[in-house]
Amino acid sequence: MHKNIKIENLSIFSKDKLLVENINLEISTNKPLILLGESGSGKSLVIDALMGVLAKGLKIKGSILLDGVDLLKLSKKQRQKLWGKVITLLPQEPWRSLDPTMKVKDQVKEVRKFVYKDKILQTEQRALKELQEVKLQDFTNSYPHELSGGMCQRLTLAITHTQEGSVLLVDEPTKGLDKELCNSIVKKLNEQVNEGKLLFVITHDLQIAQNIKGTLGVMAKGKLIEYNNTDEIFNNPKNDYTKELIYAEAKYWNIEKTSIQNEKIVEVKNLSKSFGENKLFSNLSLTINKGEIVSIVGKSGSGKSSLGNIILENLHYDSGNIEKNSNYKKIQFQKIYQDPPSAFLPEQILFDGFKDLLNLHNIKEEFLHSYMEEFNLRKDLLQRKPDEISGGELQRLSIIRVLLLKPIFIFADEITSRLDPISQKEVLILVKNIVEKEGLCILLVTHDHEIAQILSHKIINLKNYKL
Amino acid sequence: MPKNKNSFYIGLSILIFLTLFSIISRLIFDYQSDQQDLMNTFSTPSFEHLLGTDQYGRDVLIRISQATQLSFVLSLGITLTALIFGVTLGILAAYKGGTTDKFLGVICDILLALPGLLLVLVFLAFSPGDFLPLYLGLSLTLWIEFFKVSRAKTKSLLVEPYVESCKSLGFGFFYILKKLIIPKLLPMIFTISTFAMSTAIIAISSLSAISVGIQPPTAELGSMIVEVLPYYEEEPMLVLLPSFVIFLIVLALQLMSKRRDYA
Repeated sequence: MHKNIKIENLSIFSKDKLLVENINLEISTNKPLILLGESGSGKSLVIDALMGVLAKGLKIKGSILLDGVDLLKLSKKQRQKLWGKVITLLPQEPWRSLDPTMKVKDQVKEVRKFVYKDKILQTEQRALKELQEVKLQDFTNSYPHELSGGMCQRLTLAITHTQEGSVLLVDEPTKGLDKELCNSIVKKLNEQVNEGKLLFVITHDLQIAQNIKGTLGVMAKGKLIEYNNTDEIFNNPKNDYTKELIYAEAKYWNIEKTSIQNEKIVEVKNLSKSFGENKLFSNLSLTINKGEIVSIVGKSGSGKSSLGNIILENLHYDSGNIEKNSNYKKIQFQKIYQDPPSAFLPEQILFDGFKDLLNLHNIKEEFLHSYMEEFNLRKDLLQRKPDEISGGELQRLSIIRVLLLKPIFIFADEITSRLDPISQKEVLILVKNIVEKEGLCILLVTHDHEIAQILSHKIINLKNYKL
Repeated sequence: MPKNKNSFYIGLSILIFLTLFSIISRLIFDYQSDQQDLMNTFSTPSFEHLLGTDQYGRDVLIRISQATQLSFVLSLGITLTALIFGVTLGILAAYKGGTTDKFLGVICDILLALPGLLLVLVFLAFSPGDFLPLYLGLSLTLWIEFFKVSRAKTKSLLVEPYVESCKSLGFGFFYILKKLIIPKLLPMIFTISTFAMSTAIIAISSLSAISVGIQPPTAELGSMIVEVLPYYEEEPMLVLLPSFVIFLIVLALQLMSKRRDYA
């Protein structure tokens, strides 16, 4: 087992840009390292450099010492030999890196078979043992598509565990997962630390950062702006960016709830919906008034999005009754999507899309510009394509797009789950303010109970409507 | 991808060359393609007959240029018909789904089970003329590919969240068609068209070679080859020239199909 990794004066640069600037980090047994920062801050490059898979054309300076041996001085072949035996990687969104045509058990077995050349019988026993440890013993003969995101995450963890490497690199372990699953992942990662592994996690998830005790580094724009004990940073952040990041967590928000008016917008009575055998919910009743924010919480796949889509008539329901206030037109019932780029036509310049929308409904262009100003968006953003601006900016644009239609009801489907904590706070507070100002109501889907508590008047937990 | 761009332009220039060849040669020489001169059979190339004459003393240059034009126009017509029907029905099947989709799918399967050339023979049996059965039979086999591809692609596009979002913002189907579906389909349709056109050209020639479809004395590349086969020993050029033209057209189309400037 290796004892420590020291990253000294590490700089990474492309032809014309410094991407990572002079970073010093240390990982040792019982002292894992968590690197926190938004996408584009350079934290993934650090992991790539450690692994030895930096993209072509990038230059690297400094040294990465594994028990005193400089990895950067080794040849490519020597470094590849470390993979799987010394350095193991838990990739982000693991369901994308699993083999979709291979059974769970076989995916674990092949590591022992090909990397360690074990006998086939041994690999079988080992695989079953590892799967038992991550509580997947009932799924040994399943395929990845039959597993949930959390189960895939546990499966990759089992695979990395069979590798017995002393260094475990983890890339965004909670990306795309429910908050409830995050805790179990933190627990699993802490177990690895206790086994004596050198753990290095990069994340933009504050909960992960806070709950894996060790050293915390905060990165922004290629620089390491704060580096200290995890508790020390969380209790006493020094850098402005770090402060902003930490106080972006929902429990620090200081906001008042919106005021409810006495006008019913949507009334749902005894609604039931199932997909085939899978009953999503039954006998669900709910009223939403003007000015009200209602949150739906529940595990992924529990039917949160379905409920909203049923109200918007994008989906049929089995039984029950839905009444909408007939003073409003259908177009005033709108939706904001989880993944902002997927809600805009790809390849279309944003302004062209907006112009078509304005022409279609005879809306004056001034409205668009005044919203842009109000939402703190630069005008030139409109000249770009959806994938060329940040998720936070695009999500604000999609809110504007909906607001232009003078909506009365907005179904907001996990609208911040793909955003970093700071953008998340900005977008949600914006949403809260428009409810107040424009006099509408919102059905908010979230997996963050804290956010639901702070923003909404009513919380619907779909768990309670299961039969 | 500059390499593929090049091959597209090479193919295009071959086609332009063939077109110019067939137009200019007919501007210069005032022969009919079936104008016989039995005193002057198998003459060698001369200023009067640039590529010589065949067994009936007909001018080979004029016959080849006319045959090229015929193949080209006929196959283009067939491809365009197949394209328009295939793509329209494909989008319709994907958009409507349900019974429409199933019904069109079944028709496709039935047609796929029949060999394409057989269809032409069936049409020949009860429709008049040389061109119509060829045109109908080949269009009827070639539209299937357009249909299947545009149906599959449209289906996968229609389930994207941005389609739902477009609809809920009040945009109609034609907006989605214009802004999303057609731009995404175009590059694929172009590639399939070039393949379909080569298939059509080869099919027309093969059919007329077995005396189905276009009949002599109309100049047609396939029948020209077969007509002079008995004289192959003396005049191999007469067999090779039309074959070479077929080869050139198909090559040009295949080269053009590689234009993948879409990602």
